[in-house]
Amino acid sequence: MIVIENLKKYAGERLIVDVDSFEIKPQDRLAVIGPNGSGKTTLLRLLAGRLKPDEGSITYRDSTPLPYYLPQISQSFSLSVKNNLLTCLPKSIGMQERHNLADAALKRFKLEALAHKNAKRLSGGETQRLALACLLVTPKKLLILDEPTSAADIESVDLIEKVLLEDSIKNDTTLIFATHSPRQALNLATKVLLLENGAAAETGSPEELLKNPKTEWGKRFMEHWQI
Amino acid sequence: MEAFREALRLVFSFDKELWQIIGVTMRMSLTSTTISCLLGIPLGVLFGSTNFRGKTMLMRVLHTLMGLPPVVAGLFVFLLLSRSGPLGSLRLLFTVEAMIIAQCVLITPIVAGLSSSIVGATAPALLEKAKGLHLSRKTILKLLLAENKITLISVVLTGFGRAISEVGAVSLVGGNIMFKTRVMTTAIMLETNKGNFEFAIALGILLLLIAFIINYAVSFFRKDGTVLR
Repeated sequence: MIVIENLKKYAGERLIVDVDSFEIKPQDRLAVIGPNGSGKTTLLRLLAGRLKPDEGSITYRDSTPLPYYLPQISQSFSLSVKNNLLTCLPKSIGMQERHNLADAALKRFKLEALAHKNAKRLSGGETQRLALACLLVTPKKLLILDEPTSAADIESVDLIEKVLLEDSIKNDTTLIFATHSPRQALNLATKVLLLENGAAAETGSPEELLKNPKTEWGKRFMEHWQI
Repeated sequence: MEAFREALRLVFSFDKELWQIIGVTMRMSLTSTTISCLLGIPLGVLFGSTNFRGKTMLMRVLHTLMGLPPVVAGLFVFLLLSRSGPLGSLRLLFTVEAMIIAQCVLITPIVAGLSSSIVGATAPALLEKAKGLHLSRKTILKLLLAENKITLISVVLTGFGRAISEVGAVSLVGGNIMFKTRVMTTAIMLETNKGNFEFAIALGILLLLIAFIINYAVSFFRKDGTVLR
């Protein structure tokens, strides 16, 4: 379980994250929704340990697993697509098994035809599929993803959401992801956190929060998406 | 014009002295470039990809050393290797080895500084992803080198170009001794002062040719690290 208490993060004088108290339980699938500049990325980086809080704390209780983090702009490594996957596999796994796992990931994310292509030459959607494939090439217990489908086309979005949901349920993964899309939150999340100006404006299940937002900002946001 | 013709004759006649000078030049330049890159590139990768206390001051020192005047480097090495200097017992003064040391003092900061800039531009995004995936330091280093391999090759070529065209430091510590420490640049200076223009022009043509080949090779690799087709 992850417990946030009085968490604050500043950029100079400006307070960019201000979350009083929040809990993320094991196997939660939490969608963090908010407009640009609302603090989503900063909150995710704090949860992933990439940033330290200025005030307050994030406590990982009950043997919380190692968080695996995917940044919003995730460039591929200057290797072939398959070698990108092989690089993300631990060296403790035997060579044959590593190739098997990489081939399985290529198939799941429909990247087989691109296996030997330089990963730098992939399209935005292909790059994002590869980034997720690298993350999910072996099962993970705690995933923190910053807008995992922001550059993906519709088919890639559907594929990524399907794989994320299947893997999360199968592996009892705790999933925390930032998204601009309430639809994605409805598809994937068990819990939603609405951020406004770095603060937790609302929190609840996707259905209650997205269909019946209480805050003014939440209502405007949902009207825009016509949920 | 006559001097130019004579110079071309010298080049194609495989004049012993001329080609001996070229041999010493290449041996000195290739060795000093190799050593400087073996020291400078890892330093540059480290500086470009990590933050540590004192980094800003260290980078300022590095940038200052990148502009170190060659004669100052030569003087420093001369004092180090002279009989009364701390390393005088090695008896390296007026040898090719002394020239290599002087060139390494000059070129290593250049290689380190350029590598640091190159890696510094690409490292943040790569590190953000690599650390999110909990990749090992060894793997991250390999990825950084792979990410920048083309532009780092151009840094190596730049280092070589600097080595082969150096005159101040190498003449101080090498002494420009015939058949021993005379290189193309110091020979051009000497032969021009003697009025032996044919020899100087011959060396100049060859030095220009090497410089052109290096510059062509450097520009062959585009700024964004891909190879121009």
